[in-house]
Amino acid sequence: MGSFSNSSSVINEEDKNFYYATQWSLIRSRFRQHRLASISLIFLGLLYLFAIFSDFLVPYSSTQRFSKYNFSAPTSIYIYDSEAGFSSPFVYGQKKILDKKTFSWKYEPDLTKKVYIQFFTEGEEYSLFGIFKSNIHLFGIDEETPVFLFGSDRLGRDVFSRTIHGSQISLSIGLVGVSLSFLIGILLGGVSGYYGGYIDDLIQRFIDFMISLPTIPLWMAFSAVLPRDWSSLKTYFAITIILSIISWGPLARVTRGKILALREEDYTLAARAAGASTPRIIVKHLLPGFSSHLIVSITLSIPGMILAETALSFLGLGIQPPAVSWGTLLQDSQDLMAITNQPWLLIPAIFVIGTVLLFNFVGDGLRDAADPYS
Amino acid sequence: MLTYTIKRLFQLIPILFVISVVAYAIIELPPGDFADFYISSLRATGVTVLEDEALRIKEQYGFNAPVVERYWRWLENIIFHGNFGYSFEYQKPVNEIIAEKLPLSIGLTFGALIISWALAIPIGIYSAIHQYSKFDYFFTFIGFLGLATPPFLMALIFAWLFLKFFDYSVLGLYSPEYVTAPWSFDKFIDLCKHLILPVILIGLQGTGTIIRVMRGNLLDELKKPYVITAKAKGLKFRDLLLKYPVRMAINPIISTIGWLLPALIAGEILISIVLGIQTLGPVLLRSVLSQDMWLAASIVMILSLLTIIGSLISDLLLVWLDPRIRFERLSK
Amino acid sequence: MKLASLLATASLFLGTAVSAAEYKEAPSLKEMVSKGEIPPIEQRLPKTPFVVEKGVISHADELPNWQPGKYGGTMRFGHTNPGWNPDVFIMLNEHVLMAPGISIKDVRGNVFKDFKIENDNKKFTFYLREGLKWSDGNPVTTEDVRFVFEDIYGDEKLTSAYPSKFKSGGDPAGNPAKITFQSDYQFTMEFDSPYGSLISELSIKGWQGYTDMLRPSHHLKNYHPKYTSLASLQPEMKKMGFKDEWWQYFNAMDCTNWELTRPCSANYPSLWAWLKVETADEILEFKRNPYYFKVDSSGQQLPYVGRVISQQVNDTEAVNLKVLAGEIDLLREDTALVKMPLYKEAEDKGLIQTHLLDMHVNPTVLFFNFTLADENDKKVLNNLKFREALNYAMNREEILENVYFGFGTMPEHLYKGYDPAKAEELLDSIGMTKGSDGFRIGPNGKTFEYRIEYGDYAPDIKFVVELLTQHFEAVGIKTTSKMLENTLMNVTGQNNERKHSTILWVHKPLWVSGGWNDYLPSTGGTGYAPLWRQWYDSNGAEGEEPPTEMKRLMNITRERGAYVPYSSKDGNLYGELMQNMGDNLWMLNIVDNVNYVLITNPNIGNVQQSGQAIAADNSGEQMFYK
Repeated sequence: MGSFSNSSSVINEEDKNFYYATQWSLIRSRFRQHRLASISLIFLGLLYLFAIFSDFLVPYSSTQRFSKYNFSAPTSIYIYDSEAGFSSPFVYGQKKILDKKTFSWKYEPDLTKKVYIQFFTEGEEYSLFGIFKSNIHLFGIDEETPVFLFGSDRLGRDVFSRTIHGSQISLSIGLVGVSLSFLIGILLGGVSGYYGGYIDDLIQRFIDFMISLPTIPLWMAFSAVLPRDWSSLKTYFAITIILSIISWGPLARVTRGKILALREEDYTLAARAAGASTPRIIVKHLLPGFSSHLIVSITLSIPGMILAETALSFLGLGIQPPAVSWGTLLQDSQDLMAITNQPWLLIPAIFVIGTVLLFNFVGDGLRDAADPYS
Repeated sequence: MLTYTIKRLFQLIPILFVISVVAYAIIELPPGDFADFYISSLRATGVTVLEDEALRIKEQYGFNAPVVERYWRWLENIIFHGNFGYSFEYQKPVNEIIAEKLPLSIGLTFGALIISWALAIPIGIYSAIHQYSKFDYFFTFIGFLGLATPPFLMALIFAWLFLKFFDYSVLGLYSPEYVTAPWSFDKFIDLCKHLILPVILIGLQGTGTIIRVMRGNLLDELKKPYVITAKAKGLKFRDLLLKYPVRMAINPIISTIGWLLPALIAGEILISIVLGIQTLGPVLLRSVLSQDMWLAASIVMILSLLTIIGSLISDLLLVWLDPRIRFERLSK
Repeated sequence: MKLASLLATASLFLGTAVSAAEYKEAPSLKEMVSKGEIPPIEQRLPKTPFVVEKGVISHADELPNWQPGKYGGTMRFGHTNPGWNPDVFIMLNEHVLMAPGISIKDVRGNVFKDFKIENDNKKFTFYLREGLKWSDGNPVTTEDVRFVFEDIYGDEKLTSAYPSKFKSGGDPAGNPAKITFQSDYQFTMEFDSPYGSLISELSIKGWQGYTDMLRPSHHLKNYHPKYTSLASLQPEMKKMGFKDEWWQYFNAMDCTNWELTRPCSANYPSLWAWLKVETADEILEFKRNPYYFKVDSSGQQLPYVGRVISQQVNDTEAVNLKVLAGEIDLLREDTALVKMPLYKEAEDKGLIQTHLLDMHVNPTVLFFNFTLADENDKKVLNNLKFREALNYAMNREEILENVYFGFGTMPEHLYKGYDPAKAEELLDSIGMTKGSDGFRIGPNGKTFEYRIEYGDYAPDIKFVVELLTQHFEAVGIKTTSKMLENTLMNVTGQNNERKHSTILWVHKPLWVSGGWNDYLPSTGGTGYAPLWRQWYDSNGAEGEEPPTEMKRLMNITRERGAYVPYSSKDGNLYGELMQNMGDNLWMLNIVDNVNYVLITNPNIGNVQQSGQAIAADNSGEQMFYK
């Protein structure tokens, strides 16, 4: 470092920032160059914020039904009316009519019934983080005339509220699952890469073996042995664990590859010469050397978990109602009627696709930025 | 190189043994057996199975021997007779079922692989050269859409669109009129009409990943001194690109084909279920559900075997393609 | 019983026999005759074939414009389980005796020519059709009956429990029938107590088939060690992974009516209208049986349709997509009321025709496991007031509106209105007061957790469970639900491991005929008090003794066994049965008279216009392409 400070007088300010910057701030600045990734990161952050404050943001709980309003299309929100002119947002009441010829329900606005949307209004009680009890919702409307931003499902539940509530499980399953498989992957991959030789061979073959097992029968076998009387929360954690047990293999491979390369570096040899213990070398010296790469791997494996959760639900092995996740919502939309007559049931799919894309873009941005000195 | 190959081949034996145990355990783990499933699914379709009849079915399929003995009987038959047992649901030998479905699965998967390469490699090259350009974003976005959409939903939507715009259902392999017809040119065309959607959908799932790898590898390659030197020497960029960096970037993709198999089979299951294709994927799913134990265990076993062999080939290819790894191995 | 009148109706039908000279056959069969592949039609049909006309297969009022059809065409189906298509099964299945539709009223001969009941419903004489042939041309005789009763039911390895339907009174504890053979075409069954309902067991009840009474002995003897040495069976057995389990091998070779769509029935001698052809796994193909025993009133041998084919897809959405593409000619099993708008669209394009018919089951019923292991919870379920409270707490109108689109009615005998306040009052009165968390407590003072476990058997079940969960929570009962897979449904039902409740269907519309008795506890998928069922089956030796009212219900079933269906005594007992069900709320039916969609090709004739959808499915041999 000393040599740099000596020559500081000859380099300009910009370069100086560059040379003095820590690895992380370099990554940050390179990441910002990837515009798509930067924007994606902001959106992802918003999604997670929505998930955390979902109870406040949405007008209804995930199970509240309006049985007179099943399969209602998204409610139109008006701000203008020929008599009163512009006003704060309002909706009209709706009349349900069965078309006997086509056997489908039609909703017609009841222009006589005009209801204003209220903001920061009282609704069903909820508790935030299990601590703060509140009944204030961002917006709401009187009980009789519901407002469905994304329409309603077969039982007359608000798809918007369910989608946002569902994001809690779907978005966290990726994080929790990945951190678990990350732990296993790092541990086995690290040990394998550091020791090499016989242990490496053994662990490598074990990884081959895990990767070679077809995932779907594994899911099925594991979920079949989950005790029947577990609560949905317990089942949720069990499913997360199952997902991560099955998916740690590739991460372990990456870790091993990197460690293999790094353990021959001079600073590792130096640490060993100084008498540092092996775990200490791995954690203190090797891990930081490629932590940026690991973050990329992790970012790119989260969307896999989110998709796996939807696949589990499709196969009937996932989260069970009344708990709601994007997987269970997609199960409702896996229906020809949804595609042809109730397209709003597909909106949760847009959230899934969007989230997976966002994670991928962020991952790509991180990947490009990960090697700041290149 | 030879000793390395032989060593790896020997390591296969214990792995295969472990796979066979796990494959069998997966099927034995859930409570109940095929008889329970059979009775239950008869009831599920509205048939009332009387208690007597249920008892008779249980006796017909129930195996009273202990698990270990049944496992050994299965393994023994495989090792000494190449016989994977009998499927209760399909009422025929497992060997015949696998012989029928495996080629179809492999064909479908390879078709899909070709589609995804045909899309991913040009896109990967383009986005690497024009990093952060509008089209880079656009193509990557399209490529990733396939990766991001739940395959079962995409399959249903596309099946509906095909029906809407082309007036035929893409379900199954043939239209009803050709199902039992002898082979003809028309039947072949009909088969192609039915295969196009599943091949594309399965292919799209892998496209995103390959685009990313291709783009990343090529970006790394383009920064290497030899490229800069060649450019400086006035070599035409297009010639240079295709001759060295692209080749270097593709190598790792080719050498990891073996690892793709499990991912492709997993993707294939969901799409085949929706599109009604009877490949190995849905048969596997079905047999695990119905606890058709010999069939399920055998398919798990064979898929795992194929993957292990695939990844062995990948490893050998890597060693062969990349001298650095080769020397490292040999020096040990 | 008015034996005379029964015989009179039977002989009335015999009177309409068509004379042999007038028989006509399908062109393709004629061609086979001319090539010498099969004998001429007179030799293929029995002396007195079964004659189909208006009101024979379908009720006259449900298909008033029945007409003789034309030969030709293929009927296309779709199915989701390998080797199993319930629609094709119902269409092909044949019974020893029959009655129009799926009823058990005015039962008469079908595969058998005729029967006679004597000696106070204790002695039955059966007459086979002389000249009736198996599909391979071999004659059907009483040897085929003897083989079933002596070599299959009489063999310990093949049959661990002699079928109770051939025991006195249909009672598991009764004595087996005494069977005597008078000739190749006549035999008698004698019971030591009256068993008038035997005739319902031999007709459509429970979709049983003729294979319960006669099987192709000439074929099956090849696999039975009594007729073929075990040593010569060994090589084939080994191929299938069996060692010495010849009985399992025999069972695999013996194709019962349940298996008529499964691979084993290809080339298997049968009496079904269409015969299974050997094909790839994903296809079920059947071709016309040249030896089929039914002719229409103009002497044309049935069936009219030459070929039946079903393609396998993997889920019901795919089957429905095929319907919309016009690739399916008949569908019942996988239709859904919810999809009516889609069907109507396809109907407008002329691809299909929809028929809004009746459903032969109450699609969703709440069952209770009264023999639950947990003593505390068991007390709650066995308390009639608790069940009354649930009955008041469930909002059936909402379910009808949201799940069945308003096509149904409130269940008779059970429905006493939707009244959550009353439900809360009842729950309070039995000491199930609300705890600090707002949920009601059980007798042990802890929160009572009510659990509904269900199978993924029909698309409506999941929604009904979700709604019920909320209805029950609204009156303070903590309710959870869980979907079990098929296998687990069976295992838990059999072993009394099912938790509190299950949602499944019952054949309530068919209870009246005694044709179904799924109002009784069961060891099957419903998990409805399996230990009571064991007690009933073992005549009190095993299981758990049920309360008096349930014993009465079981005795009603036993007593009905003595009488012929729809006799006045049987009618009185049926009345008492429904009263018992209404008083005790053994199960809570959600809605009655639900409608059901049947889809056919618009060009198919002789499809019934009203009545049960499954009855239309059952009448495939009289359908034809216009």
